[in-house]
Amino acid sequence: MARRGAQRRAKASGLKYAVLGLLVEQPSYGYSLISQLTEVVGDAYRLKDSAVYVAIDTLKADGYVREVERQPVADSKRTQRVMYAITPEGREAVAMWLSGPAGGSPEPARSELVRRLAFSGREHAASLLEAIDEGEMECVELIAAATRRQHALAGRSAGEWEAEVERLVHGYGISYLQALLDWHRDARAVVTRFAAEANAGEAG
Amino acid sequence: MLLSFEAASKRYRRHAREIVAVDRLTFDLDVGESLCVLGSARSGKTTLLRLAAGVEIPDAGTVSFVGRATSAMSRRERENLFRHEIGCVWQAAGPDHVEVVQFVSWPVLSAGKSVRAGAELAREKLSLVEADDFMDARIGDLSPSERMRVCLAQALVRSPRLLIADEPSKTLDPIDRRRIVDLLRSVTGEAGIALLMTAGDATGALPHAQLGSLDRGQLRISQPPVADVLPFQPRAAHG
Repeated sequence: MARRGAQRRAKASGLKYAVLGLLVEQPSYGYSLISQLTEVVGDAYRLKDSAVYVAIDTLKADGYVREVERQPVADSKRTQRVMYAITPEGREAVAMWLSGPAGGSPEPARSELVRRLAFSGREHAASLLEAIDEGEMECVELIAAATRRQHALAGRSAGEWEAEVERLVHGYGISYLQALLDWHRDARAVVTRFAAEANAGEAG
Repeated sequence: MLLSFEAASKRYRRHAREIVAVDRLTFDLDVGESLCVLGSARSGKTTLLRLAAGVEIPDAGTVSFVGRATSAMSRRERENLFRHEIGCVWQAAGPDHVEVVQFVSWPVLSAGKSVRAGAELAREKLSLVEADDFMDARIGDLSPSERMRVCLAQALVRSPRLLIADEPSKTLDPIDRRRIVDLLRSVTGEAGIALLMTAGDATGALPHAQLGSLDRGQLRISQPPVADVLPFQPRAAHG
């Protein structure tokens, strides 16, 4: 349980600054922050709504954001719509973050497959290959989504700071997915080889 | 169905070893559809395209163009296919000393039309691929991106129903890469031309296309949500 909580916090801290960064511009509602984040960061990262709310709660607890408005909403599961604004402390935190060292590593995606691989014997090759195929197709679909998003921005003027940064942001996601795609192909080659050897052994 | 692969395989013999270049490929491509195949070096990308273009025929299985198997066609029929129905953009990109308009008009001239008609059509297609600035240059004086656009224009003068492009973004920097990919989309989308292309990695992927992954000769195609295969919508203006 404790480990799970720590993981959740670690994930939220990455998002925290992204949320703060958006609030630097103007106060915003929770759900509109989610759609803005998806717009900025792209599909490759699979943002969860709940993670954004966790980030907002953390930011509130840290004193980096405050509620400025609360409206009742009739047609939603959340009974109230809350508008958040950044505090002076929050602005300072963003400035520190932007000038600080870049750290962190991409989460080991497909971790379920990696964990299964780690605990599988070669007798599980067939089911592993299926999982590898599935994982590869998921990469391809995410590449399709990220490419589409990047293309949607292509009409804007290339060469300008905003356009170039957006290209880089989406390019990061695409490069990351390409690395995952390569990993799946590598995994397939290895598992296929051992599966073939096992079959040859059985036949002989 | 415009192009149809049914369990198509192609093998090569290299010294004593037999190499399976592509293994039981099965997919369909219809008018106005596009498929972009992602594959690393030696994954079988070029063999797949050569089979689709009818330059080669499969050892097993079939490749059909509008319902006719390429293996059932005579050499002449396949050459005609190539001349009238399929436009190709290959990696090797034209002789350096030839002038752009002349190079682009070759397919028209070889189909028996006049030099003037050829040049006219060539200029029209060059304009379509935004090559107005270097129409009168020689191939050897062009940048990789310009060369690619010239080759694309040459593929288009045949008024093909299918366009085949072999890693069109390979040697380009990221900005030119996106420009070429956008151009491929617009020239095929507006004319309803089917597009089959390859890319070495995800940075060269075609937006709004079906994406496939080719690994050691085996192709896996993702089933996109319906929104992905909607007809192409041209951009209002080129910015």
